[in-house]
Amino acid sequence: MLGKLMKYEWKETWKAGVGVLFAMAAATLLGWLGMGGLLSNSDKMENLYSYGSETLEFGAAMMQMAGVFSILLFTMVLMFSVFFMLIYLIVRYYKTMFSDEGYLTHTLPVQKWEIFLSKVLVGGFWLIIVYIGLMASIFGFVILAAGTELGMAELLEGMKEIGRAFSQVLYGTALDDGLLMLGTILYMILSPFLVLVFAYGSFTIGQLCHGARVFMGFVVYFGIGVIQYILQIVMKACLVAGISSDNAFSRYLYLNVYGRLILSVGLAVGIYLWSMHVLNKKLNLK
Amino acid sequence: MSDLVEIYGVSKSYTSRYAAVNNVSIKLPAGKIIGLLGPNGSGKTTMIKLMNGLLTPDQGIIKIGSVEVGPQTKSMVAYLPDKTYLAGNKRIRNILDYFADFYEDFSKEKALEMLSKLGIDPSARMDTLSKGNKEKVQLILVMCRKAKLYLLDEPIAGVDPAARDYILQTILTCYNPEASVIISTHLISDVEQVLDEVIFMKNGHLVLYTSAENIREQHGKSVDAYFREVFKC
Repeated sequence: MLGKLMKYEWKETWKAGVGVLFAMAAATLLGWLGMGGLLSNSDKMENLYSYGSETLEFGAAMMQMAGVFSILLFTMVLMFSVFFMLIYLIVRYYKTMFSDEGYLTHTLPVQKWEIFLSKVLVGGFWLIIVYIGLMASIFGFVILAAGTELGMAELLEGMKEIGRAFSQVLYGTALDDGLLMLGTILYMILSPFLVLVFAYGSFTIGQLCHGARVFMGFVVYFGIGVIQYILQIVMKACLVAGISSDNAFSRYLYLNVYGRLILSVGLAVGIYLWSMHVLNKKLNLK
Repeated sequence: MSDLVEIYGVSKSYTSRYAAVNNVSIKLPAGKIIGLLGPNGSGKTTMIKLMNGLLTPDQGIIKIGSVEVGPQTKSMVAYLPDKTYLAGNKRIRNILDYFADFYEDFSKEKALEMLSKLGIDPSARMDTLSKGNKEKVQLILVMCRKAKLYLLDEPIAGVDPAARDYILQTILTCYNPEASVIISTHLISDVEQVLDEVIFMKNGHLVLYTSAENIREQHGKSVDAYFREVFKC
């Protein structure tokens, strides 16, 4: 039944996901056109100003404004794309679980964990896709915009240099350490799923407060965030106190990545179990 | 005849001061059409929601086909809520596919045939249908299952008399004769003709459980008239 639930969850969410990706692609193109226009036409703009004609100056100013506006729009769309997808998924979860639509969801002959997991898996997948889209948009924008000014070969060389500097600063020689890389990648992949377990779990646990279920959902979500933050601070303090070797920073990073991973997964398991308890034993649909 | 529904000491409260269902125990047989009757706020909807797991009892046990309420019983129970629970943006055809995928006992062919008789286009979206047609679509989804227990919560409330006739006729012609149908309503005169047994509920308590025939014989009244007498304000 998990497969069937995932199939229908996919059918219901793909339009929103593809819509966000299209918006990101369109914004990237627009941002690139704006940036390209500003960079490649800067000399011509100056020429327009030099004529001293008010009409030409106004036209030049308008073109510059359009360029700036398109870059601004690009930034805004990218900033809100992941946020929008997350909000959409949470609202959809609440609607299908605890509104009138929940009457159908909760009378299906399936286990509660299958319903919860299907939503986390499909939603998490969409968040990963949107994250990748976000990275691709930024990367594409930089390549396209900077490429017009610098030339592709120069740009790629510059990026390699930045990459080398980044790895040296962050990891020292640790980039060769497969386990650290594995931990980082694992954390990046698991993060969208963990975010959804926390969010879905919060609004499920919020159902225990009959008078203010949605409000309590927010309270639980905030509470989880605070607990996670405190646990991370404590963990980091323990790590700093316990490390005294020569490659302290590299070792700190290594332990920090795995520590955060274990903490987040542990917390997610706790939230999941509590959510299952609510769905199985305390469900009270209005 | 074996008991299809077994309810032992079930209570359910929404607030600490008021019990919507209060220590109800009852056993219901298979193969009957049972009216769950009572005035507004008597606990009918709560009782039905408890039977299909939308609510969890504060105390007591409910069994359907000797199994405690859970995923297994949900495959035996077909439930019609008292509200539209299908998303407005969904097309009827997609909803039929959904039911066919999740309920092995659902007949898509029968549902399409019934929709065709009503002149409802399966490619129509739910939010384009009238209230009466939405009710009919939901009823068709429920009655095209070969369930062991049909739980119909206020199936004829808020629809015109012609639609009421259609709904009652559909219930009578479509339901699996080995199954039981529990119809919750306060519009007794409309359903009286189809009922085998009746349950009266008042303030969360079970007041009476008997056959419709018994009421007519013992009290010399119709179920509707007797109901009015029992629940006189």
